[in-house]
Amino acid sequence: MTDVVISPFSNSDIRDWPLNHYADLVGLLLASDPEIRVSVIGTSTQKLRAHEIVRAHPAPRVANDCGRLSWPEVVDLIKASACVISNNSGVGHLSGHLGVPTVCVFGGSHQRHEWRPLGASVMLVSRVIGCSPCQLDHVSGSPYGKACLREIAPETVSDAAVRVMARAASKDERNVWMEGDAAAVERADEPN
Amino acid sequence: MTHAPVQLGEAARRRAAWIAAMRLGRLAFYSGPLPWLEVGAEEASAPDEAYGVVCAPFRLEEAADYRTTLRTWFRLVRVGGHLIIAVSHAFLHDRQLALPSRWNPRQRRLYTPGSLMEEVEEALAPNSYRVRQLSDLDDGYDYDLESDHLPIGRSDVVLVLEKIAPVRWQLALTPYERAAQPIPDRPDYQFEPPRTRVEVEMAMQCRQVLILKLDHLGDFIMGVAALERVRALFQGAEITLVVGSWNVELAQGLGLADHIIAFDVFPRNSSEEVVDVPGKGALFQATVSAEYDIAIDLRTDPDTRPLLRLVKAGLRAGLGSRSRFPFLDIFLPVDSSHSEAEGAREFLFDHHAFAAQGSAKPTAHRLVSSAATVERDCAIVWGPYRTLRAGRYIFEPHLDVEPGAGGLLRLDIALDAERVLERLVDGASPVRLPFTVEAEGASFEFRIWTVDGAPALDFSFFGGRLIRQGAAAVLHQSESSLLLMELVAIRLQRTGVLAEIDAP
Repeated sequence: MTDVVISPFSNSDIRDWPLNHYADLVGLLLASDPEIRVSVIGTSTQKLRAHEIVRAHPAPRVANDCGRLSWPEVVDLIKASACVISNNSGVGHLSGHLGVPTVCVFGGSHQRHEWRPLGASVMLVSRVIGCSPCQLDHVSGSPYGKACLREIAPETVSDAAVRVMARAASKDERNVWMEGDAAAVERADEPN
Repeated sequence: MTHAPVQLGEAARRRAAWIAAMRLGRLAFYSGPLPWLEVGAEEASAPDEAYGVVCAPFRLEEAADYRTTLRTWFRLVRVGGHLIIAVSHAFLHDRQLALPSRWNPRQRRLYTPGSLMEEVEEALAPNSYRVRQLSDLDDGYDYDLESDHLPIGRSDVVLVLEKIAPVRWQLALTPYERAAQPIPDRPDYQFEPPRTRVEVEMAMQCRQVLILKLDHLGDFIMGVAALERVRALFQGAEITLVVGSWNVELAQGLGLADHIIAFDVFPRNSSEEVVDVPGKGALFQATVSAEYDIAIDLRTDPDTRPLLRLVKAGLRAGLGSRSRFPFLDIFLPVDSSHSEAEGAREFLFDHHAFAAQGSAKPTAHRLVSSAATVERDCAIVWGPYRTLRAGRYIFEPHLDVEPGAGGLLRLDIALDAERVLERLVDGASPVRLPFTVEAEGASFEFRIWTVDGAPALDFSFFGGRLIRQGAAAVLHQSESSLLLMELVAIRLQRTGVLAEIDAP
């Protein structure tokens, strides 16, 4: 089994990718690999929102684990997972810190150069949009209905997740990226 | 029957008994003449919304995919009809907290009313149903029976859902969501075509390193620590150091660079000759023409930063903000402009920045107040209500008082409406009022009052001068350049540089 952890909630709704996109993403992930199982994590108060993500998907492969795990259990789950998909939030930072393959769906409210999760195992998905960074905390303040996240397609995130897992599988060292990731740069394994 | 799983036939018998009991017992209300279906094998092909009652006794606990199962059952119920689900109660029937079940080898989950409802809320859309009944059924239950015996009596959880017509509104995700009003899809402006970018963090390996340290002897000495850091950071690299001709010998003596290029972007004595950095650009470009992986300007003043733009380098690093130097890939945004916060500042206010009571007469350049007409129960002059940064200040009111008149005025300073200083004056000498702003953003107010028990004075008020003390809170030159090198090290070795995958 390939365990994918989705952490769809941050402390600020302006940073959260829409729930329907997460729901579609889960469908794409399940279709991409019959071995994939998904765990949606969050607090007990986020469980109702997580229902919207898992509802359309088979229970044996997609679990709503919001409120079911203690923090140490969350850490263990992340360590053991094949991929973590998150917003700009604490779980994304933890996952990158632990070197776990991570896809971070990063909204336009904050500057990704300042707040992105660090780590060579992190793949950052964000939108080029003229109104970013707006520095807003709440969706209610967004004059464009959080277009910076709304316009990120589930297919893009799913592709990134598949890619980040494939790289981790093809290289034992998770922080080494294969050639062709970016044309102009190469990964240095040894100190400069 | 003790410690033995029930036979599958027993499960069928239990379901049949349950259906029969439903028609007679407390659930009879829901089992009327409407077309009804007991779920079994045929529901997958049954038509949508065809049944008034869909009854599912002890099926859910055996379903691997409870979400799909619940959705399938619910699909069969017509609006106004009921889905009736019964499951074995973990505390009454199974009498255990974890699987496997002692009585049913096909059982996949243990249920309480709470866990049953949780599965339903997960599986069915909100506001597609109403819960009409959720209860424990223990009719005839023998509570005295030991837990290793198959229970006698009802030992179920029952849930009755009524399917309702779809509602026209949607649930709000958060209370902060804006009311339904047209929201533009996206801004009507753009700096580049919208796209989704996918990026990864890349560490850089730098084999050709260019360092600019183009200033004078003292500056160079203060930059030695940073140059040592350069050598330590780029141990295997070829380092080229560009310095003023006056520093070549010193640079060679340090032995920290593999190549040293002399380039005089400044005059040797800047106080005697004109500095023209932009005018030296073409010559600089011709002199420093090789290609480098990284180019770093170690000068703290920003005036040489534009030279970095002329260098052929994969990365450019320097002090200052990217908003000012957009070509910098690695930038330490410290204010090296020796202005703003660090400098002493003087602010002049004319009398128009102040208000005055009605007895005071404004002219083009002053306010004139007469002792004969002044109102004594309020301030004569007040203002200018300027927001001040934290720091030490002196306010010098420009006040012209007729000397020897024998009266008094009271001057005070208030910050955020709290008096912090007062002074009685008789016009004999200039007044300077020192005060400290502890909290950033305090509102500054100067006021002139009469003094109780003393005659007022005739005076003219022309405004005042507010002086802010320079803040000695700067980094040493060597610290700035060292911090820049530490940032370069962090960026190259730890945080990396973002690089877009499949960039257009």
